[in-house]
Amino acid sequence: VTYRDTATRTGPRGHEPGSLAADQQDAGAPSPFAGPLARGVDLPFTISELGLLRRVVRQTAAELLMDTERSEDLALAVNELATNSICHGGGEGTLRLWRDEHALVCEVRDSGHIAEPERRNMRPDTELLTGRGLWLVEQLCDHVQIDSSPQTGSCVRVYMQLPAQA
Amino acid sequence: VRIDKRLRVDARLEPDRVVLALHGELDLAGAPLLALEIERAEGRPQQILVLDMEDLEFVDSAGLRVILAAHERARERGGGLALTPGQPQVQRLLSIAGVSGHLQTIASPEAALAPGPGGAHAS
Repeated sequence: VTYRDTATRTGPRGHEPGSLAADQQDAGAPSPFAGPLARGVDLPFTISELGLLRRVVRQTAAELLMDTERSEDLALAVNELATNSICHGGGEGTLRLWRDEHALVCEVRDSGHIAEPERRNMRPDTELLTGRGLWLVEQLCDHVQIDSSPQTGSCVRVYMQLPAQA
Repeated sequence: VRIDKRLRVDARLEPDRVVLALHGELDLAGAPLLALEIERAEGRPQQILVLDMEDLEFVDSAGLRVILAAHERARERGGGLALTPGQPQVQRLLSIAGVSGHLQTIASPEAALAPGPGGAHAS
């Protein structure tokens, strides 16, 4: 059974990987992933790359003129998804970033199955020490799309709307 | 630019408390180090544990889990656990996770803890 959930506060946007604007001028240090990202190349990760993933997301969001708070929210959301992959999805996963017309899209794939995707809508008890990840992601991003099945693993896409001038 | 932001924990002993100053980023990779340092602190006679969050640059749910577990143990043994105010990202996670009111925040590592749940004299 494939669970597909596109319920959203902002409506689904384009779902196919496009490309980051090729003519972006990077104001700060050049991203080591500017090239690969522009072509939508995958970034495989294990626990050793968690910090790197956050930096890539922050930098990409900053290049697209997202403000610091939203950029940090997106980095945390991707961090939570990657943490889920590391803990429950076989210890590894793949991050892909791209921009579509309206949003910066971050996709995390792994071989695990999210058995209860509806948990993302349940606020965890204060005392509860697990199960915060998906719920946090739901709070942090404009739109969350979860695809998961025991056969194909999980693919979670989070969308963060870009500022008008990006 | 410092690329390596792995968690670093500095422990400081005061007469009534152990202060653990957190530096860098507290995520799944850093959580075991914090858990170990907290366990060491819990083995000391001081009844109060303070997590100094001022220099912490990032915390996620894996890090929060370690802090909440320590908070629970402090309550059980009648000790106290408090946090100093963190940077905006740290405060935001605590707020979104709904634990800001649950964990006691003190203005500085030396400040007194309030009595009551989470305080030094929790019943």
